[in-house]
Amino acid sequence: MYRSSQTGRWPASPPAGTTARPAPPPYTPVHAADLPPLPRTRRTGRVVRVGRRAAFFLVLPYTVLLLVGGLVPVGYAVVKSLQNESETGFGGLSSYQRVVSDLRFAETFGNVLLTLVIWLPLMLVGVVGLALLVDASSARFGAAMRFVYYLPGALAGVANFMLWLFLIDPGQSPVAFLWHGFGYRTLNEVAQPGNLPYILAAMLFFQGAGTWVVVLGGGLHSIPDELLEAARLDGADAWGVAWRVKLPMIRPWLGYLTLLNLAYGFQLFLEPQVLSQVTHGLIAPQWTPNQLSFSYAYQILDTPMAAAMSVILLAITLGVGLLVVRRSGLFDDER
Amino acid sequence: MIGRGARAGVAIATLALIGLTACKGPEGTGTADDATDSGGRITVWVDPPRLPAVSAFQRAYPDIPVDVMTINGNVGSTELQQKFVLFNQAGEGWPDAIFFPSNDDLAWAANSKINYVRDLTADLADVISQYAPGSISQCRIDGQYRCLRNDAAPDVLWYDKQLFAAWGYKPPATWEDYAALSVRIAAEHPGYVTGFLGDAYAPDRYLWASGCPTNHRLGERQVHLNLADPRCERIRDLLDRLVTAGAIASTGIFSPDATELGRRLVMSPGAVWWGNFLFRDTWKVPAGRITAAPPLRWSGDREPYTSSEGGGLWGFSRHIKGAQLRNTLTFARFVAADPRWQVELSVGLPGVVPLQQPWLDKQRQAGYLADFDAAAAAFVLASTIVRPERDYTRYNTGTVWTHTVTPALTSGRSFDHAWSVFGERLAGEARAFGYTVHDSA
Amino acid sequence: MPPALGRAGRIVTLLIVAAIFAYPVAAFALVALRRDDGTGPTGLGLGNARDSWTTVLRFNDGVVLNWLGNSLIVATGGAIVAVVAGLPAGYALARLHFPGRRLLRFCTLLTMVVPNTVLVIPLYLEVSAFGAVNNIWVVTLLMGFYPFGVYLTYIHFRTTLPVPVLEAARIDGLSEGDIFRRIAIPAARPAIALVGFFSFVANWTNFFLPLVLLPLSSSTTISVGLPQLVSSSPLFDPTNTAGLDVRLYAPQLAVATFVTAAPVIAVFVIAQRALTRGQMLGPTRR
Repeated sequence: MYRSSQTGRWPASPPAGTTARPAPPPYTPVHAADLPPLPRTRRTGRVVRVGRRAAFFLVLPYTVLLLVGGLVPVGYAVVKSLQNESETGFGGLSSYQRVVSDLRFAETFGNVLLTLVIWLPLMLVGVVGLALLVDASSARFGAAMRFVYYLPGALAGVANFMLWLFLIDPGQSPVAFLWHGFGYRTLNEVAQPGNLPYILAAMLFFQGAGTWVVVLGGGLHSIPDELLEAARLDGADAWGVAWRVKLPMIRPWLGYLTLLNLAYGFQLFLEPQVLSQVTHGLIAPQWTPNQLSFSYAYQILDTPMAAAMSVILLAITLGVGLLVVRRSGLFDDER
Repeated sequence: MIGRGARAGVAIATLALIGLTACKGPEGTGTADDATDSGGRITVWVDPPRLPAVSAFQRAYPDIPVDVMTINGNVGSTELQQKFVLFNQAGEGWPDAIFFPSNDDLAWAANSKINYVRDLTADLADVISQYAPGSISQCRIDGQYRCLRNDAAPDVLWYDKQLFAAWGYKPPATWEDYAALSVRIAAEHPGYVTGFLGDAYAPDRYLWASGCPTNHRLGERQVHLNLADPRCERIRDLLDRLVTAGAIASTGIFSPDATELGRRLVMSPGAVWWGNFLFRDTWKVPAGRITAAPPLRWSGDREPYTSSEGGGLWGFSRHIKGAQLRNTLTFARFVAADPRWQVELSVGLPGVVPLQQPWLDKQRQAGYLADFDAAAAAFVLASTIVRPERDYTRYNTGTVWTHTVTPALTSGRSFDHAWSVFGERLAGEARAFGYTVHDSA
Repeated sequence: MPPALGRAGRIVTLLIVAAIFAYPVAAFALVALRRDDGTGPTGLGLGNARDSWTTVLRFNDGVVLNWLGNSLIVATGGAIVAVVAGLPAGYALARLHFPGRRLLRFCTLLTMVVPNTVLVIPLYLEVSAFGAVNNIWVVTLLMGFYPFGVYLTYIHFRTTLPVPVLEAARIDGLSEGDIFRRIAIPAARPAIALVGFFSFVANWTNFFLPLVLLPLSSSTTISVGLPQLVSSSPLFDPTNTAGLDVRLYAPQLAVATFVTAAPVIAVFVIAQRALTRGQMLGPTRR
């Protein structure tokens, strides 16, 4: 569960994907044979019962973790969020009211949405474009390119942020010419709040794109050659093949990519937090919803408010998550 | 096995958890009920510039064992408070003495939820009485002294004596003169500045000095905050003029790009510690150029007042007793009022009055400031006229300022716009922290 | 468009994008090889990097080593828990029938796609109710909850472990436990490498969970510690030179960054070899 909280990548692709022939990602629809109907003899009846007991022991450790690390905290947060401010009794929705009436509530969501509006299209167009170009290339050259795109992803999490800190400081940056072109001379001018969504979008694209190029590459790779050949015989040029054959084949993955990254936007924390520090408070200390709930828990010390904010975030991301699970079609390997 | 069983499990676990978090009643501000005694060993947390204070204490009291931890925190950072929340939950871990990285930290440390700092009124009455009232009044919370000031940090008017002489200016005495001269300097000598607006201390420097009620604490959850007050509007109009004229830099004193500008700072209100800490050590302005004049006053005010920037506060734990408490109080006396730290080593003007003259004598020998006697007189005067009704609150006015006013100015918006955003945010944050905002006291 | 032109355009585009991706990383690596004592970067050489690392080690009496050690504990421990708990669960979900199976599978999918940081504050409330904040083993255990790993092994067993094989084993009289031990686990080696790798990387780079649950600076992990180095650097706050005796400029920060990233890169290289081999072995085995 506790995958990288900073990298925009969903670690769904096996690392083998960076080798010359990427294996398809592990969540490819699998149509393995279902269990045959069980014969109703006394003997197999016992096996099924024994199987149940075995299954119980096999799933027990994980189920405990699921409870401790997932369901109990969520349930507890819901209960806590319904307490009154002094945590002495039932408070109804008052903590939600306090959260929503906080000036920063709408603002933090606005910040995240703005970042997503810039980042998601960049991610979709960039990743699809690169994946198609790589797919159209020779195996060797394509693999080399894929590896280079994956490179920044190896500097995962905080390490990637450190790299970016160095990139966006005109005093240090190897792309200082770019900042000077914008008329920026200092870190505070580059990292001013109005630019933050763009910087974050670029940062997330930089660290996440490579993985998705690999993932989509796997999808493109699994398109049967006959299909492509048939399209070519029909007179389609390279663009036509890409547009009319390849793109529809990887469409469910694009939905998956969009939804996952959408949910990811709501977990931004580190980047605005440290940028706020190094710019001496130029960025609001509570720039994202997560920072706000952290502030409720540790600074304002209003536990019901922190719980309420978490429940709101959970509701949003669970909604997105349900959409992923139900609609993307990548998970229905059994009906 | 996960269906009904799991749901029942969640319910049981949740109920158990609620039982665990039952509340305790409110406690006083003296020694806590759970206080312990280490037998003498004390733990102190200080930022790097205060490390010499601990070393000096260890030399002076070699028989008191001291554990020291270095902390560093930016203004408005939540990291320190996070640790104290943990200590309160665990019932252990608090330091015995702490130098707060930011003065506003006092607000949560004294708040009834964390309630870490002890009431020093009785135990250290002899030390407290040595402070000028303006230096210690921010430590007085609901009638109790809950911290000691390390150094007095009143604002004076700093100016570059050489530039003033070369350009034929006289140091202004009032804010109105300061504004007029600033506008003139901006016109006559472009590239030179007469102030910094982009740091977390800027609201202290300008708003506090004017008496603008931003942090007037009326109670634990009551605050007087009103940016429509005439004392706010006059400083707003003044700053608006300076910004429009290009006289004041939108960057902050701690910013890396301030180093260059610091050497082209003609004059500015600023705390006593600016002399050594900023001009000499950070901006590296050559000796013999900088000096200080008495704080600016508003010509309409009957009394002259100034403000205070930083200055450092010491807090001491409620969770100790016996020998550990005795040694901690010995440490408290040492860092607040012993010349071996305050005169010999500290970079700021001592908070306690009797040590101010010895400290000034030592600074005179260092020979950094121009016109030392005038500057020294300005320091001493300023430390006695710090404007009251400005407290440290749990919302951080400086942080709100840096992420509203500073970016607005950096991106070229008008000061008027920046000011209205600041006012709205400030009241909003005060409310988010549970304060009821009052328009008047 | 003539095909040759299209081909050239494609290659040039890919190369330009590759340059955009590689250039910052390469430039940052060069910074790590420079020397800077506050007067600007000079020189280039491995000796500089070594000196910078010694400087980083002097920060707060070598707290960086504590951070690295803690990261190693939570990342490795979390990965082990994730494998040990996830493998049997993935197997049971894939190949056994039991009540609550669909619910467990659904919960797994759901917790897998919800970003983990939104669970951190609820976890903090839970853990602090039990008074277990600042306990590295609690954090390790929580990191061991890794639904994505369960999902991976689930998929793996469904693709590589045919039902008839299991049926045959049952008819041969093997108990369900034996089947899991003697058939499922050997078939699962690639899945173990995969889950271990992903979970290690995820734990190593996790920032929010240790930030909230390990608040003391000596007990936290490197991903929380690294930003502390940044805020102590005179690069972003010149007044830091006045107080601190350990001064971290760009080369020191870059070296610390690469040391932080090294385990992830190392695990990546190791796992990649194991995985490509494993994937060839897996299906042919049964």
